[in-house]
Amino acid sequence: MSAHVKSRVYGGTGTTTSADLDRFGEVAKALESAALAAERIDGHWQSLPIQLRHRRSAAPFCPKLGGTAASGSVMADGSCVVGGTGGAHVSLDYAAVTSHANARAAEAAKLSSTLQDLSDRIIRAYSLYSNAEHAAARIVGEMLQLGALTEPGYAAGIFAALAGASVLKGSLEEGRFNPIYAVTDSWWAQEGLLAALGTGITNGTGGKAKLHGAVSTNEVNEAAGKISEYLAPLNNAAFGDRLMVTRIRPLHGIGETRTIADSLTNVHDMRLNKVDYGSIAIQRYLRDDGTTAWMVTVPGTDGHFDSPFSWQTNVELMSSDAEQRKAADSARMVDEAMSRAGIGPDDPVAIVGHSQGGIVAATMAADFSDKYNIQHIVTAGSPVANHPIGPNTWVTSIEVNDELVSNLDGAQNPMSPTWLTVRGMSQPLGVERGTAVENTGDGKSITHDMNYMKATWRDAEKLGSTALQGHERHFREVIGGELKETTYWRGRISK
Amino acid sequence: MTQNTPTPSFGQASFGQAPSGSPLAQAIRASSGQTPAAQCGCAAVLEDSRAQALTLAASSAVIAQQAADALASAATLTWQGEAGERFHATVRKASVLAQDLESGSRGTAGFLDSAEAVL
Repeated sequence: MSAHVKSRVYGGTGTTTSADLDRFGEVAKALESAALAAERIDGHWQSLPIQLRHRRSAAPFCPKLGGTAASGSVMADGSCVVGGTGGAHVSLDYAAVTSHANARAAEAAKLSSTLQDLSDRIIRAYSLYSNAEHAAARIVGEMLQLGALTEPGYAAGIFAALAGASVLKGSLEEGRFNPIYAVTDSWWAQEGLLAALGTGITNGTGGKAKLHGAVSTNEVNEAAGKISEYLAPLNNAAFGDRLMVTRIRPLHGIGETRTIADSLTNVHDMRLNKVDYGSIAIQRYLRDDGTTAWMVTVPGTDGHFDSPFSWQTNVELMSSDAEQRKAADSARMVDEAMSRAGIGPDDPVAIVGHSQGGIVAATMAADFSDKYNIQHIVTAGSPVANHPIGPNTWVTSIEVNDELVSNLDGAQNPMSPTWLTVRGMSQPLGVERGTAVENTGDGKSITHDMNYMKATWRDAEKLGSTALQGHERHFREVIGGELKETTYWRGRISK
Repeated sequence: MTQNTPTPSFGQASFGQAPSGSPLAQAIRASSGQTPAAQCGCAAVLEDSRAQALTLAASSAVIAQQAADALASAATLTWQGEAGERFHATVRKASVLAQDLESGSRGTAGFLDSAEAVL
């Protein structure tokens, strides 16, 4: 049994006109309304036998209705004469009526679910309610933040209790202890509470802090900046800040990148093919017009202290201060590798990154725009909502609702024509809606994994979303051409 | 469904020990055929039951027709590509389901109007 995800698309642009969208919206509503009506009638048909049984109690001693006795005198019309005194008792053929009711209920149920599926496909493919959902999520986040800043103790207690209950429920369902539910089942509160934590760290919990929290969306990044003021020097003292970038030749590398799906496969393959930790891949493409384009593939945090992609580097990368972000080991490493690979200031560049790799991609786009022409970035499970990426860079973000990491920015990604977010909704265990996630078993696992990201993108592709197709087209245009070379670069940090 | 077991009349062991003059006994007697069955509520129950099921069948047919109308609108949407093709294939499948519900509901109504429905 595999886990499943079902995707929604937010932002982006496509070829559909607003008139088309109105029409799609009307049809989606009509289908949804018909689905609800069919669902209601299904319920009525299901309850009809019970209601009829109740009606029969109005004549409790009728032998015919009671179905316990009847004389042999059956009239031509089916009514039955009992006792031979002229009294004819009659009954509906309740067994046959029940059979009809069950058949109609089954038809209505099937129709309802198909209509709902059709409506859902339109809504997801054309992002019909995404603006409203985006606004609602923002409101929920801000309310949670306000509540947590007003009563931090209670908020922490309630959150801990909810997380504990989630672990208990999930573990009971699975039949084994699984603490991952504390993270996955609290996803809806994560952005708001993390924003509150960010505000608390930078501004305290007073009235001004609450006001700041309500109008701001980058509280977490501000807090990351403040923490980095202390953490970065400590990190440098402990592990050093001397960066060495070396070109390597791994035994197995990555394939050609044509599509966004390819880019996700490749960032995953960097790990699966055991390319040395702390490494990135850079592909050079010769375009039809003779220009050179580049594809940069950046894996996520690897947890090695001598790697530029260590855990602690994430904090600097998340800072609201551009200088701190640029000084992060992983950003410096990617910059150096790109420079040594020969990427010129006008060459079109696309970058894909998973987790920290995606934050690096956003940092390169936001803070190195004077050095590189980064036209498209693909982030998978990366908290990049507050990185100040300019309008010349298209951003395709892939997230899973309950993975925590992409919620660490404490905010929703911006919705604009050049910023598309595909959000996978992780389905409960055993529910096979949407797209199956490869290499998942019977238990709930960490949904930040690349298998979830790839399944999320695959599910979104099936929708036929014009917004998604627009981003796919742009991505292909950026790196379109013949692959000439793939080079691999490894970074190491030392004192 | 025709029952072949004879109806026990009032006073027989299966009806217990109710006194013969009690309202319960009278009701039992009326329903068990010792007084005209016109006094038994079964005819009214039959009519109520039939009316309720008929109303539901009628509503069901209307809802199926509304679904068919919504699906007809969906069929006119221009949605290209593989996802669009899958969408339109499902619309066609759903139209058959709506037809099934409508014809099934009419069949149920026909059954309820027929002598077959009465025992």
